[in-house]
Amino acid sequence: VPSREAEVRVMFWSYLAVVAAGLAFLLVVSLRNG
Amino acid sequence: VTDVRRFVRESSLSLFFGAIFLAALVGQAVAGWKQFNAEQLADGFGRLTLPQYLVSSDFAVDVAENWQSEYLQFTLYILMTVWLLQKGSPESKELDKAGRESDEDQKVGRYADADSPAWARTGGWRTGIFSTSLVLVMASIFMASWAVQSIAGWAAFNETRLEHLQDPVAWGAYLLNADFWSRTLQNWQSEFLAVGSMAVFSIYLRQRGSPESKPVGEPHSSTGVEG
Repeated sequence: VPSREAEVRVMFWSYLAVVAAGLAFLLVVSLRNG
Repeated sequence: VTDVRRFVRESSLSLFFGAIFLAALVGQAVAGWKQFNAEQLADGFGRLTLPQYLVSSDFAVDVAENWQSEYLQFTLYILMTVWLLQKGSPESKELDKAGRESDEDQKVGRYADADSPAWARTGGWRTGIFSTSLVLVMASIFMASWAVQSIAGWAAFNETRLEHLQDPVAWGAYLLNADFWSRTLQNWQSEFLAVGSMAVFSIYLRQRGSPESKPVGEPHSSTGVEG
């Protein structure tokens, strides 16, 4: 079922987005303080 | 409503860990902030508000040093279990399966199924990349978080030095400093011990129903059998 595949894709990209956003935030914060 | 229920059930593992990650991060932020202010007070320096602490290098280095070690742990585990074995462990492959295995075993190229991912079938660089994409992404996150730890740790280290009227050190010098390696290795040692423990304990111990364990009645000698 296509809609259920989409749900799984959303979970995959959500996790990747959280990690990427977290790393980007931490990098900006440390460069600003560095 | 039934759609939402079904979604929650079919994604419960990811939702649960996402939720406790956020809860633990909030807890770390609040506890870290209070601890930071207590130390500032003891040293005779000013306090930070919570939003100020959240954009401080002290919070950043604490988060990053734990991230890097977790992603290193899984990167190494995914990679080393390709070649390395543990007789009796469900975490290990069967003893005659060490290595990258044949295209047929891995359903690659002409051995791909009708519903195999396109990049498994196509061959060439796409199949090469796709065949190691999990390690590529996990290793990239490890290296990025370790780099962030080095920068945030350097900034936090220099703040402490300035408070003690000492000269700041350059980033390159911080990479050789005991502070960087103490933060790094204290996290690595615990990850490596836990991973080794899981591989070994699961030879003789069981958790009924868990895919990380052998089935309860599976012999201790069975290798590479998951529940």
